[in-house]
Amino acid sequence: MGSEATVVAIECGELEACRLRALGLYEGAQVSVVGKRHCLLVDVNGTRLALGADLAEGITVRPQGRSVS
Amino acid sequence: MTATAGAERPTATEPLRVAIIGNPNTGKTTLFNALTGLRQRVGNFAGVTVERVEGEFRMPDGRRVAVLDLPGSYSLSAGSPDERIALEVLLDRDRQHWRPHVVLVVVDACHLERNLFLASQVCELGVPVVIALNQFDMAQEQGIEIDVPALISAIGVPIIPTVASRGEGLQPLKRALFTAAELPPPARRFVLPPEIEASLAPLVQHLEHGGLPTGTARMEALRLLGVRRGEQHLADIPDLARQLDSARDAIRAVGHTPEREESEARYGWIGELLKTAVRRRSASAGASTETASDRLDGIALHRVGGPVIFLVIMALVFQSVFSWAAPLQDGIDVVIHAIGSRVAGFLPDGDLRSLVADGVFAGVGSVLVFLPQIAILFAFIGLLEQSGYMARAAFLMDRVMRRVGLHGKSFIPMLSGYACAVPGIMATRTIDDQQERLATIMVVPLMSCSARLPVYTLLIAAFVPATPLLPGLDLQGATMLAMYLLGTVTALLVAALFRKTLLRGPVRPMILELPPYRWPAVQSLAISVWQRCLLFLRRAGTIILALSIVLWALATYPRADVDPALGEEARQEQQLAHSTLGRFGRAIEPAVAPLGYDWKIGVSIVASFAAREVFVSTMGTIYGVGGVDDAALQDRLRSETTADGRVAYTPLIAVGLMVFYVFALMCMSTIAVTIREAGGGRLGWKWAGIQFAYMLVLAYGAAWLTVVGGRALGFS
Repeated sequence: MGSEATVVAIECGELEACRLRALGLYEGAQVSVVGKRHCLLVDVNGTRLALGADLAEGITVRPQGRSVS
Repeated sequence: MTATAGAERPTATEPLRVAIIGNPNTGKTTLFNALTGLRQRVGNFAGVTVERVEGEFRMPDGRRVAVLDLPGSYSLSAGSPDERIALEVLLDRDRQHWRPHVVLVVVDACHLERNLFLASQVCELGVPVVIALNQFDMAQEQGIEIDVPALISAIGVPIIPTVASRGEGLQPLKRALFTAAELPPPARRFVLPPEIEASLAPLVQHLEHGGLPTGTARMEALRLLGVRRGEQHLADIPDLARQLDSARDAIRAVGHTPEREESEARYGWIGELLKTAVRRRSASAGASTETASDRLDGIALHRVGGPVIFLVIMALVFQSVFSWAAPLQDGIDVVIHAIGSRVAGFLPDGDLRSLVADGVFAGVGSVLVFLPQIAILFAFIGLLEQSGYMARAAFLMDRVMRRVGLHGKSFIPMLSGYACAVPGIMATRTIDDQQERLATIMVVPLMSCSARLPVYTLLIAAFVPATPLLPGLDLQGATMLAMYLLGTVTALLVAALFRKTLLRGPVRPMILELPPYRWPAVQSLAISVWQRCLLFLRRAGTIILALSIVLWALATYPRADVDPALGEEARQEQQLAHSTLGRFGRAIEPAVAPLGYDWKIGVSIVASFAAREVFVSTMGTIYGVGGVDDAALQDRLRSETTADGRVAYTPLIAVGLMVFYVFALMCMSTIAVTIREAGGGRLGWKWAGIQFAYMLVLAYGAAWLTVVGGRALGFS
């Protein structure tokens, strides 16, 4: 939590992927997890996003190569 | 068919048309309010299903500028109905709309990367663009140094730093709008990899043949790679789906991912651009630093504390709607009463005087007293939205909403429904999924709106004793709360039912921006509340006034030959029974009799279909007392007896009647907006029909159960 990672792949519904990219969460974006409730709270370039747990599972990040979930 | 370049120039006589677009939470509406002030109008585009907020301002030299506030959009990718509306207006495909001369893109200076994504799309539409770099002060506070001239030369459009909440930068912005109108429209500033460009070429050509200008065709081709949903504004281009598929195949063939192309290209360009034009001072470098907003969220989104704070805020909202409004309502009541009796005093005794006193003043006056409550409710909703708390509320409510098959975002339309179902249903446009959106539209009218307040208030004041229950809560308050809870809980249950039957489907995963907390811009908020009040006053002055007069006439004619020997009340009674209204009421009496209502209540219910508040004014008109003096109407109701001498209104019947109003869709405006928002045409009518029918059945059933069940339990 808190450490930066790079988005590698986004696998989810087309509508959600499209929305995420428009919100700045695209392949190559820097993200960090800032909190965890029933959803995941992430920071993308200064924007705070709440992502459903199911959605977050589909987002793969580096460097640890683990999934943000 | 080849299309000409899209840019239009304003003529000398017509105003400059400016469309404002921007991400949500950029202060777009605040900027719109700051530019146009009170010169605004809420209306519809002729013949299309788009509500528009249009305003106007004048330059010092007298030139006029018409401004259109487009819905907040993260991109032109048309994910939500809101974004589709914005795109359709900007592209003006059906030539019906209002083609802007200049598009003003409001960009949040603190979140440039994400905001410039939309701006870069808009810059390809072939229309001159001006960018307002809003919240510029906040960016400076956060240590973000923006080299504006570098941005201007990189993007190729005028860019003006603004602070909309304080009105800074407005004058240069206004001038820039005129300058931009004379400039050539901007174009794409980045190049796609050549193999991608080649793969897209046939699709671009196809779109051009379909009538799109070159720049727009290139923007659309790139955009469409990421979306596969029905695009209404491109529906008239034949064979688009096949062209799109072959473009995607061609891109995959050269080793790329079609869905990623647009974001990679745009963000790649934006990234390079920001490297040279933006510097973060080291003190606050790094996005992961905890901000004041994060610390607040630590409390507001806390597992235990979050819901508690949420409930406290909701309680505060409702408490203030009822208690703060009371003195203002009394004031309005006194003023209307004074004017009413003064005016009536000038008129000779007779039909005209009766029309003015019993029709106009009793009818409209009984509704006008609710203006303060409506203003306070809308002010609170605006406050919650502007401060950024609304998104947190949606976040917290997501868990509850998900259980009934809705998205956390559905909470916002439902909350607005407490003020009025019409803006509530329109607020569902932020919901991406059509099934979720329809289910939300179906239940928003179950949230007790401010028009039900008059009905509850009248009946509770007349029939429920103010027995203290808890400190700060008496039986009257508890009854009111019970009515709101009944509607809210039912709304959730009905939504679950719809999502399991007619509107089945998985709940879309949550994606929600939590904007930084902000102090609300008071002036902008005041303007928005004022607009809502005006809308309400217009209703009072039109529908409610007209209905009051019609009802008065129906209750007065034909004249009965009353026995002058009878007392005043008996004569009135005889007259009313003889009138058209009385005859109609007795005809429908069998339908309402099982609920314990007499024909007078039946008539009031039917009349309230135009607007629920009319129930009170109808009762006022029927009894010739009304809102000019609410206490008089309460006394009258309590002492009212039926033809066979029983008491007409018992507390049980009053409660049943309130329950009826909790559920019944007695509102023309809601039906009209449901037809429009559920898709218009036959589809819209179908859903509006379903909505009306289920709510009526629910209302009748619940009111009947209340009365029958109550009697069985020994209440009267």
